[in-house]
Amino acid sequence: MEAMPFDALIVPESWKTGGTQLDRIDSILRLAEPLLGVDRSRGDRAYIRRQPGGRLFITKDPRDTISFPIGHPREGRPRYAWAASPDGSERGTLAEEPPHA
Amino acid sequence: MAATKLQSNWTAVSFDSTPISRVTQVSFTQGGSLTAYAADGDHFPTVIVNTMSKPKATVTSGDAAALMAIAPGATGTFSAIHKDAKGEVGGDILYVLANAVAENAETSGAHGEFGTATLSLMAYSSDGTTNPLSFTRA
Repeated sequence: MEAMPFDALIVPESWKTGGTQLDRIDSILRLAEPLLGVDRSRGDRAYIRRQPGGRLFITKDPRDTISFPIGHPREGRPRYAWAASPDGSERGTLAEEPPHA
Repeated sequence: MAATKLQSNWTAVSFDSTPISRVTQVSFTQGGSLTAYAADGDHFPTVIVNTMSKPKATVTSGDAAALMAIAPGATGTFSAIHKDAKGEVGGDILYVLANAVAENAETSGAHGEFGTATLSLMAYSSDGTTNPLSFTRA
């Protein structure tokens, strides 16, 4: 049985490799897109955001947020249940389906 | 052919789902800024920290009417694709600035030259934590 993809990832920025911007983006997408269940043939993409502390936050929707947005009843609380992976990444599953920011 | 890993020209530029054509220039900035600390007898900063980043974007187009029609304060998603220099498949980079707020639009044109307009945008974070500027391979 195929494992369910994750909804979000946080990976160390140091995982980026390559000599060009496209190389560095691809080095992250290669590992992120399978984990997020990205199907490029359907128009899916994994969007990468640089976060403070040398981390990259990656999801399939560029409007996703790490925490519930300001004004939401759960403002400031995590949107994802995070599981630390031995490789140093964190893999997130949506705590519940929230409205977009 | 493999991607050139060089970018040239912009396509699929849009703000709040409205396409922007005749684009001659796009820029995205991470908007980082530093705060320096010094005290007592210091003559130089002893601590420098990136306490705040304000991602921004600008777009310049020959379609001045389209950009001038965007009112300051208008909010939407701004996105643009920086194309592979030779148009090779897999070489385009897509930038998305979520929660982009139009700051200003200005237009100008020199005698004997094509007129242009430039729209500047800032972006806010819905939760104060998530960077509104993202990128991916198109």
